[in-house]
Amino acid sequence: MADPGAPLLEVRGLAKSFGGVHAVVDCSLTVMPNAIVGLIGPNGAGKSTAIDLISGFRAPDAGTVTFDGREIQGWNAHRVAGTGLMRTFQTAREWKSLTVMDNMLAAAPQQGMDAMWRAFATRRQLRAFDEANRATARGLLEQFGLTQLTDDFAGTLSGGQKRLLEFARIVISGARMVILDEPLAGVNPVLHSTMLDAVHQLIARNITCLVVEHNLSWIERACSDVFVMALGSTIGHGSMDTLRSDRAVIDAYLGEVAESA
Amino acid sequence: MIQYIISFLTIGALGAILCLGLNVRWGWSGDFDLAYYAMVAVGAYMGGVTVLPKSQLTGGAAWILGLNQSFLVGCLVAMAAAAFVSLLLGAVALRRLRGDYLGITTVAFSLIITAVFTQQLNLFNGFNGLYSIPSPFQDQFDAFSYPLVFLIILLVALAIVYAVLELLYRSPWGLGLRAVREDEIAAAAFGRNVYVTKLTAYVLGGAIAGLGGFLFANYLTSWNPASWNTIEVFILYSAIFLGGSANQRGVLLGVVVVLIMVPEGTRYLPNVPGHPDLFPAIRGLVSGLLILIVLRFRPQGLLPEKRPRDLRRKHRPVATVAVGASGDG
Repeated sequence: MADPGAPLLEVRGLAKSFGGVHAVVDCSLTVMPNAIVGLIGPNGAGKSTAIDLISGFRAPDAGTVTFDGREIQGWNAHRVAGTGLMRTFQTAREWKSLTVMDNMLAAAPQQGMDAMWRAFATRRQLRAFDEANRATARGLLEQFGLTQLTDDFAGTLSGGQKRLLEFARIVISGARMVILDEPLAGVNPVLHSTMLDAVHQLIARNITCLVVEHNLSWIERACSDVFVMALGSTIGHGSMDTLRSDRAVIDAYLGEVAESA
Repeated sequence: MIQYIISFLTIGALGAILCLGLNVRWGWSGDFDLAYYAMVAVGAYMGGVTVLPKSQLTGGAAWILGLNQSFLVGCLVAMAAAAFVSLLLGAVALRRLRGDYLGITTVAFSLIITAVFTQQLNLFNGFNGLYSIPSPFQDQFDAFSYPLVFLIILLVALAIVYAVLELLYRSPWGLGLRAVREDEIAAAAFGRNVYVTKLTAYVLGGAIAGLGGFLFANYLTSWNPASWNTIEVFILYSAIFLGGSANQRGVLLGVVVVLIMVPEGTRYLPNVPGHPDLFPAIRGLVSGLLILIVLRFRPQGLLPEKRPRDLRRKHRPVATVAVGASGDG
């Protein structure tokens, strides 16, 4: 365990090239426990690649990722998830032909019960595991307003409902931190404040959030601390207010938004 | 009449065991595997040389081992050998390949296995194959009642396979496997080791293929490259598609339709003089047509995968056992 004042996630000098394309050149950012931190930048800035590198879906060429005092760069995605550092995707990735309840049960921590030989454990053990997860899942579905959809196939949910299911899965998974990749993508604008509430529910459960989003007003409402990426590097850091007066940030990104707005 | 019923039930039981194994790979894991019949053959050959005595053949033709062991040992060796071959192929093929690419790789593997078993004469006696494979417990029954005894052996094996697979399907492992099938990336993001999960399912399917193959060889009392063919896997697929992928009862229904009703229903059509091949051809056509109709109008099969209902469950109080502490909080 790291000491209490230490950052939960610390990324230093992350880099990744695909052939001659330098997708991520120098990505460095710090996330303190229980914060909501934003990550913004123009299209092609390398945000998505950076997330892939942090969450283990790609291996970085250079740099370090320290989560809760442990260096995890280059680990497989499932091992990174095992440390409690979870992520979501630009499109909701629900398990379509599983019901909403089964989506929850499959996301719950398995504590070794998902090994094949455990299928032949005592009925009592299996039932206790199942019922405990079901009880937790029912509570969370209630909280995220999905109770009526418990037995529906997840593939039939609307875009917003899929996002809420994703939040509920993150909570049941026992995550300590989650990287949300464009949580508003595919969500009706009417639901944007619902999504903000959902993020606050994560924080209320001590799940630290790093949010990648293009909707700057939503980011401003959600995050007090924002990192800016452009051309593969983090070029700015601070509140949206300070970033607005940052020359480098304006040149790389905010300028074009201000003009078009 | 009774002998006739026994004969097609025997075929059905053999087909059911084979289909249930393939369903683990295709229905549960979502892998379009075309090497399945190679695992069936490995099980048949390895089980065969376990129960057969030492080969007396000379001049390059012979079979390996010849352990003269009992039927049950044969079953175990057949399952272990087919599982091992599945492990080797799966460890390579399942690392990155999915969908059509997995199909191409596995069909190539199956064709290579066929070539090796046919050409390497001192492995399983080449094209002549194994023969005089002793039928289990045959010495204790007369020739008239033995077909029924063998059917009972098959039904017991089928019941065990079905029950074990049903337990696995409902287990957390089974749910994890279905999550991997639905979306591997999301499964990895929630801490599942996709490769290991898929590989265990592939090996499990292979073990059942091996058992089915050995039982098949017992039924035929011989096994050679003419007894099996890579493309026979499509008959099994057609039964699974028609009945309902991933649903074990659906698979059994598919076996009844494709492996029993279609062949038996067309058996007594009158022969057209001068065209002896007509009705076998019609049988093939009917099978193909059935599959097309099902895929067009009911792509999930006659009995699709069941949708579990949580809202209708009686909510039991949560047992206070250490395992399964809630992830809430």
